[in-house]
Amino acid sequence: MQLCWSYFNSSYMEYPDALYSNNRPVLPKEEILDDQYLFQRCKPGYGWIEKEGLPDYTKIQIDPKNKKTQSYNWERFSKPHWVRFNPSEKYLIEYAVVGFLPLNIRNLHEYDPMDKEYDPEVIKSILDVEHKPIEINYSHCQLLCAPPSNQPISKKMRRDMKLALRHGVKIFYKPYEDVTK
Amino acid sequence: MGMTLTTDKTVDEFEAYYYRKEILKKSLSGSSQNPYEKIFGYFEGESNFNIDSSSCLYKSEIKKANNKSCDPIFIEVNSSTDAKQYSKVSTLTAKIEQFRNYGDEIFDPDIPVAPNSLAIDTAKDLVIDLVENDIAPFRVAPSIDEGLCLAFSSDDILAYLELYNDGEIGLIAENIETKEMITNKDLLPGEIIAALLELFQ
Repeated sequence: MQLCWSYFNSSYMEYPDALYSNNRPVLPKEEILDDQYLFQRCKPGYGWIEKEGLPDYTKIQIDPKNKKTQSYNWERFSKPHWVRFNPSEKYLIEYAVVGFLPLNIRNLHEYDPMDKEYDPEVIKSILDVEHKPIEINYSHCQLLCAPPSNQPISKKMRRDMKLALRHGVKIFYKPYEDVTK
Repeated sequence: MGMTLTTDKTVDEFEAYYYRKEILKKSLSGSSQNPYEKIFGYFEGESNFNIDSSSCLYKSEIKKANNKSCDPIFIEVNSSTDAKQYSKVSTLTAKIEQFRNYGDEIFDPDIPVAPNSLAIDTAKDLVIDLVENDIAPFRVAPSIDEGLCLAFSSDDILAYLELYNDGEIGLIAENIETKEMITNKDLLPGEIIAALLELFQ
């Protein structure tokens, strides 16, 4: 009974007013400091087991065309669990919340063995994060994937980057974990 | 239960293996008929093996006690192993097959492009070899990079085999504890088993 109540409670969290943009300006990416977490909601995919860690490898999106790129909530303007709200302002308790440090994203080239196989300057220039607020979420940021001269990223490199991106990830909430406790 | 059987005919072990594999594949994709009955029928008719219908011959279980040109051939059949392997193969095949329609029950909004027939058929073709080599994946899932992803693990290794919709194949593995990458390579279909065996044996 208590479990049901806590589920009900946390599933219907109210959308925080502080997330609305209210005509606040877009900030340059330099203001996204290396030690400010970027929160991502992630729902482990079909058949995932805990041993694999989060985020689920099968769901890490690195799209050089930036058509459907990874979204984050910026710690500067958001609490970790606010990223569980979807664009319809529905709170998705079934999602885990993980945090990435921009430092790790920007220094992916230091991850072994990427530093041995690829030109560090190329890797360093590919990934970054930009502030991209939307009306209902001022903290909204996006993973920026910009390979030099718009060259395609090979599948091999993409696998490398997906695995490397999981390093240094902090798990704030597991799926269904109640933030009120 | 293990038993040793003899026959007075020579059968090329690889030919027998691939014939059995084809029948098993057909049986799994076509009808619910127990594939072992068909295999039994074949081997009894063509090679005069005296095995019971619940048994199945696996490459690893066909052991020659002499060289290829001599008779007889000694065959060891372990029925309980066969049953487990068949169960694993059929479970994995069913899991893979469900992605063909990618219906509401398994649809994931994070993965808008479903695995296509090429990725699904490649995965299904792999299953028997994987199970026979005791390296069955613990997970088969659609991948955000368009295709199917098979996940494997041991105590210290985690590996992902990506079967992309465009026919390309990639394998990446890391040490679970140290997070060090062990391998990351593009593969041809014929290289998959060897690459996985290198990691897990």
